[in-house]
Amino acid sequence: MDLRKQLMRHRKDTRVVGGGMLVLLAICGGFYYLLMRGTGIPAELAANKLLLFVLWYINIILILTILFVLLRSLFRLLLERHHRILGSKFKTKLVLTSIALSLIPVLILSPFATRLLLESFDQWFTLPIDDVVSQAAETARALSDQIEATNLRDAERVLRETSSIDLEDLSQHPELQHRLQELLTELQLDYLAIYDGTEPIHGTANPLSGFKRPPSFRGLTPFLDEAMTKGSSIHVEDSLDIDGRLFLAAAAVQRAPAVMVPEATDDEQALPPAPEYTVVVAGKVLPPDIAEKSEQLLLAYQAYLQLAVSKEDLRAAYLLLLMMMTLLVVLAFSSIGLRLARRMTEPIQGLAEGTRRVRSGELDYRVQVAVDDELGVLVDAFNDMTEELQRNKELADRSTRELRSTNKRIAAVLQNVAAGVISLSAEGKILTCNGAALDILHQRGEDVIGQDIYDAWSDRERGKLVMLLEEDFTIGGQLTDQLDITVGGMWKTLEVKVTTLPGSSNQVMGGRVVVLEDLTELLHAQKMATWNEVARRIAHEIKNPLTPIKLTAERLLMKHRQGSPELGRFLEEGMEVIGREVESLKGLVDEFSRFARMPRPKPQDIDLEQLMGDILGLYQNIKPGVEVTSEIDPLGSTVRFDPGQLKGVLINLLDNAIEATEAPGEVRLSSTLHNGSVLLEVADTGRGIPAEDKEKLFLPYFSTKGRGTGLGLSIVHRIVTDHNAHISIGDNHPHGAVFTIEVPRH
Amino acid sequence: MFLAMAPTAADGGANGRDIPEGSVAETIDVHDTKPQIAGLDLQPEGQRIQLSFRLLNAFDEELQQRLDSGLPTGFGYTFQLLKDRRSWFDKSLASGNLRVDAMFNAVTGEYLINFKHDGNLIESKVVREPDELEKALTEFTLFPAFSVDDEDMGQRLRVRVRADLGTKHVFFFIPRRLSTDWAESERFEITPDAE
Repeated sequence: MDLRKQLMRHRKDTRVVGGGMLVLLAICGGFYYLLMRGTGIPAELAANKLLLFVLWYINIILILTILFVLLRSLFRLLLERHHRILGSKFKTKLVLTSIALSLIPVLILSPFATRLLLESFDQWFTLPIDDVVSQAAETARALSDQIEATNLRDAERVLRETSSIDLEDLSQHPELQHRLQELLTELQLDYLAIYDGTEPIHGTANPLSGFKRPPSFRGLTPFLDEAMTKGSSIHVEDSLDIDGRLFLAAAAVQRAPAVMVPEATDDEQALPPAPEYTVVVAGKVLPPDIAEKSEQLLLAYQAYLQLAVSKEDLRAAYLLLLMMMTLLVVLAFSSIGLRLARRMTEPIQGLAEGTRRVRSGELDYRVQVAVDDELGVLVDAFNDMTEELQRNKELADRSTRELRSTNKRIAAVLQNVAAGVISLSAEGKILTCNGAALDILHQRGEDVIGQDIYDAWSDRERGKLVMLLEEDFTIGGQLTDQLDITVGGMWKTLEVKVTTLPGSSNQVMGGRVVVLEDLTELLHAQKMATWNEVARRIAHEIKNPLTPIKLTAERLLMKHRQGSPELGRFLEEGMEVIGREVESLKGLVDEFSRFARMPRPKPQDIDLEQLMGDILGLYQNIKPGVEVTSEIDPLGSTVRFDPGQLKGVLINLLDNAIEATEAPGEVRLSSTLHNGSVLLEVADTGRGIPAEDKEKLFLPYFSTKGRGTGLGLSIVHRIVTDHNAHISIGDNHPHGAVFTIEVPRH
Repeated sequence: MFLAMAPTAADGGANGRDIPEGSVAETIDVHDTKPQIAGLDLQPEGQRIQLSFRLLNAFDEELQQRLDSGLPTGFGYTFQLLKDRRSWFDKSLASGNLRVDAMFNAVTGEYLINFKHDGNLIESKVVREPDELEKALTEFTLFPAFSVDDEDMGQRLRVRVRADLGTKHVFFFIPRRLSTDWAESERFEITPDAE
């Protein structure tokens, strides 16, 4: 379910819960209102109580909501902490802080606010206010009382002053009317009427006093009844016919009946005569502005009294309102705090979860948290990072697969090549060893691979390989040597090439690769070929002098048989030829003897400058147009070599160079220091050496000159290799050849 | 006029009442300041039973203040006619309610008093004096409360009256009705002869 649907569902749930609470409130409120009305209290008070009920309901719902929200959050936090979910501690701190931040101010302020509210509330009903309101009402009432008292006094006076007039005598009525008019004026009344019981006899009203139409003087029966009962009564008429308020006072006096009741018959019971009353009503109109103000005062006082009566309800309502606002604040701040905590911890938890997933290899996992702040940037960066990691991992996997494939191919090649290939770690541990190497060294793989070279090759013969590996040479450099070892009862000649591999940095060796070439068969074949060649050349060389010897001998025999007189001369000439050819054969044999009897070298430090100076002295002006020069590097001015043999080597090379160089030309002898070795070079500007001849040049009896024994360069090569040195042939530029002897310093 | 001012000692006690045998006014504890129904008296008129009683100690300053505020204020009276059963709970034969509310008009200085019997307005009157107001609210004479059915004639009956003084509220909103204790009459019978 995506985020939008979750939000919509959450919103819908909230609406359902809120709607349910409102419906419940309406139902409970309705029942409560009916209950209150059932108790008989007035509708206004029932409404007040309903308001209090609604406030209580809201407060209780708020309290329950806050408790629910807080307890649910705390319960979740406890669960998260119990399960050690990453971020739960941080979330706990945030939630507790937010709750504390919302509760502490409220807890501090609430008592003060409550006290302030109650005191302010009590101020409404303090004595000064009470006194002012009540005195204002009393003043308004005193005004009414005064008017009523004056009216009553005037009514009684009118009653007295008209007592002499017989109401039942119609002839006296004009006088009565006149008298009433006089008294109305004299007493400054607005209304004056005289009644016979409840029947009006005469009435008069002040036309300027606010009557909108002449009064009917009727419709006052209850008021008149009360006057007749009690002797007096007062009444306030608030009719639409009066512009203002009419205060009436009635004074009644009982008079003797004017008509005698007839005598009762025997059947009838004698009834006392009905009392007759003369009632005078005096009235005064209070002007509308005063009446209105007076009414307002009284109504205000009543309103104040109603407030005072409902004081507790009001106090409760305000307290509940305050409580509701407080709870709303707590709920709002708690919700905000929880939301903030959730907003802050959700990305962190998402990142933690993402980290865990990525660590377990799920590089396609993405943190799905919708935030747009710095944490959102962090989440985006994390997702970008995992995407990059995934891409790199795919590349690495592909490279690994390719590498494995390559390795397999290389392993197959190595396994099938004739050369033995051994890889060593920097620490001297044998990492790989192909089958050819195992065959050459006559070992099994499990005895070698993973072993240290000192353990694997601990015997004396194989130890030669170890000794070679112990030699220090530069990283990336190559060492080539030839070893004769006897393994498995077989004597073998090996060409060993050791290459050092660079490590993580160019200054550190990463390991070594040893390539073993079994030269035994090759050398054997070469020896056989060499001996064949030697035999052929010897045969040829021997045959050459033998032929003249044979011919001379046959010639001498023939001359002898012919009895030639010149036999003596032929004999001398023949003996001379034979002697010369025998000398040639002897020289040939001596040459072989010297090759076979090559003395053991006796190396010592040689001052090349002196040696080369001596040699150059021999070749000065030896060939016109060919200059023989030397150049000595001061760093490479000494070398460890057998002096006689080195001199022979250089002379041999210089002889060949001078012979091969046509005038004008140059032969240069030089020494330089290179990679710890002294390079001795003999370079000429002659015709150079064809490539096909370079491989054979150091073989015995190979000569490009068509004369000589062809053993000179073979002897040179042997002398050089006997000194652990190396000789190679190269091309000189622009033409010519270079013989280079590389002699290790140590 | 059954809602006339209650008879006083000066009136000589029962004013035109005919107290049946067995119906005696209960004793009043004058030292008790708790609101209570006193002077419960009954008088049959045909099959109708008329009640007289007074409510004591209920007209206090708080009530007067409430009245002066112009809010409708008063008392409710509940009557019950019970059939007396010796070995079992009494059976309620009839019941009724009288509600008396006064409302003060500060402008005219008059109290309008409404009497409602079982929810029906049966009388209104206007008084000006507090004494009159108190009497109108608390003293009743020969109020026709019940009619006894024929089958209940000759049965041992009993009447009880209680005044509802108003409602107090717990936690400001939970109503709690305030009432006096039941004032009960002695057991009595209404016989056809009584008519």
